[in-house]
Amino acid sequence: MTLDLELRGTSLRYDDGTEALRGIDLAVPAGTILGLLGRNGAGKSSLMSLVASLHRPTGGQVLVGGREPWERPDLTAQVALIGEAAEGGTWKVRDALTSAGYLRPTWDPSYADRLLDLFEIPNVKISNLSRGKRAALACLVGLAGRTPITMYDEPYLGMDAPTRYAFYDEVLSDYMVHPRTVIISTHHIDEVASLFGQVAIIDAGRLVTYDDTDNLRSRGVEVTGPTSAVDDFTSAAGLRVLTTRRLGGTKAAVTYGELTEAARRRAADAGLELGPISLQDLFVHLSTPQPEEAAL
Amino acid sequence: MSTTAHTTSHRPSLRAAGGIGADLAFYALVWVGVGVALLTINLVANGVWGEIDGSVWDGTASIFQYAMLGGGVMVVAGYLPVYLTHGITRRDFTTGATIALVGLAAVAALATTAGYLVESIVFDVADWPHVLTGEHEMHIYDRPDQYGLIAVELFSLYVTHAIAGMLIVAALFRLGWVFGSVFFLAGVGVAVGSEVALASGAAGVLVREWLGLGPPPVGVGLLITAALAVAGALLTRMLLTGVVVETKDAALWR
Amino acid sequence: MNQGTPVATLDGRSPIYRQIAEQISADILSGALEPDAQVMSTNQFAAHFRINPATVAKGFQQLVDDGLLYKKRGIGMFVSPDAPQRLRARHRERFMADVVDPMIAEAHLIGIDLDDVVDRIHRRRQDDHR
Repeated sequence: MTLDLELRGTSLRYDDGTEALRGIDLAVPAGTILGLLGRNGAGKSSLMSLVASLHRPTGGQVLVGGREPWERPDLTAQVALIGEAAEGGTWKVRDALTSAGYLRPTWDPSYADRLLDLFEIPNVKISNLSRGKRAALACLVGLAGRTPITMYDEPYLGMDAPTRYAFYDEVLSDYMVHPRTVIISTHHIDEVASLFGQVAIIDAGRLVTYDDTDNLRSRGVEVTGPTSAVDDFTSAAGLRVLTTRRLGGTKAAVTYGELTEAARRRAADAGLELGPISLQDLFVHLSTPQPEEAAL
Repeated sequence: MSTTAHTTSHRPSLRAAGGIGADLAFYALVWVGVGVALLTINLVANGVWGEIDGSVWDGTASIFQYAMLGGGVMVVAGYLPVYLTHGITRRDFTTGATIALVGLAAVAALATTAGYLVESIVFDVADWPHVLTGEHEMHIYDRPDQYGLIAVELFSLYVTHAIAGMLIVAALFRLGWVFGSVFFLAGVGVAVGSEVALASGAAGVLVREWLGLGPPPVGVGLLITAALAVAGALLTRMLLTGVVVETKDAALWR
Repeated sequence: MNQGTPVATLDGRSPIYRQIAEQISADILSGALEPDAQVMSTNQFAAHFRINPATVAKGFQQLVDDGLLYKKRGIGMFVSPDAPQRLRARHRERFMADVVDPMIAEAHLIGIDLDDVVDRIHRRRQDDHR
């Protein structure tokens, strides 16, 4: 079973006046793997907490399956948010799984057992697990829960690279058998970018871009060549220059925009090199640097 | 694997009650142990070195009210974030927590009443007078063998104290420390109010003595207590249905 | 089932669906993927290289549109019988524009006489014949 997710003019303003989200419009069709990218404090966690009904929007709406999930048990049961793993108190690993299975109607206990083996998590007190194993356990709960909307808010802290890759593989292989909407927020963008069907970039509470991953990728072009030629070309082609590097008389401009075939040929004729840029680099350049205590 | 069949039989509030209840059962066992230890120590100490001129359990038993208050605090403070993280609504959580705590209150009332029974057997064997010394206790019962009244009074007090605990934490979660502390008084009011109405517990007895009142009429006392319980529960529910949780406080386990 | 050489690493920089299409084309040209051979399903491909299946499907679709792959409903994707010829013809068309013309432009830039270039080509051709 899959659910559509929609944010309509969604805003969130905290009690202290901070505007975490400002009018987000986002439609995520059921069964999408969405990469949610943004700098620290951009609003990714706030967005996900609204979908998970941990918080309520102060403006606009969050719609899960066409309805607001706030205090609607049939909807909240189908949305899961996996964040940074809690340290844990008295519960053992098995207790956590029993609890999850008891409360989540979509839980798959045999899948959970398989994942325990895969991530090599022993049945001990959770507070005695290493940080990486705790993080893996949190991800396990997200996977085995099979919730139609599953969100991962950077739970990977402490997870080593092999475990992260094992997790990505599981997200993908389970998704192909049991499709669901998966939203992944991460700083390890290039590691997991190939999983994303769609990418949304959030910056300072606003949605900067939301597109098919490859479309977004193809709009990032690095133009390299003699400085004047580069400048002429980028302005003629109507490209937005994100950042530039100079070495002597050569300039490399990281640009964002649509490039026609004709424009590409003109670039070649002008002796310019056109190269792709990684999603990680594109993201870095599309996000504004952190303001220094700027007033909002 | 069919998931729809599981969904239709799945009542979230009852699931919450079951989950919380299971953990409370352990909490209850601990307190039974405490109770047994206290009764034993009291009887032995007084029997050997002191004088036994009446029930010792009567004085000891009132601490369990405060264990119930602690239970109410623990359930909301410890479990609300976990249950919200697992997709249970605030309303279902409140219902489930209340059911679990009322269940605990019933079990605890029976266990504490059993303490009087055990005491009466021991007193019979040791040939001590099984009466209420009534020094700092009043109650709605006046003999330690009125097991029915005892159980009713205890159950009522345990319920109000558990609700008081829930109310205090709900207020802090919803309103923060500054405004929440106003409702702290409301919570205290529910607990103390019931103690006064039923003339039980340190606070209750003190207030009644200060007001110059004798033991309360059973019916009135229970009615007032019930009203306080319902008011407290409704206020708790109202406060909890608006609580927000920061992502960093969300937890998949305790 | 000849599934072709696996993609060594997927470049995180250019559109993935295009890289998939190019890699499979390369396998067809090199003979690693033979005509009428079955190609990995989109899901197998996706799982193997850790890519979103929709992206894989797009890459396969491009190859179908170019006539290099065909779909047997319920069974899978297969290499077209004339795929190698098609690819070679396409590469031949592009070779002149993408390789030869730029080479000439580069030669002009550096100041190399085109006659020297032609001589070198002749000499290499003679070496090949020996």
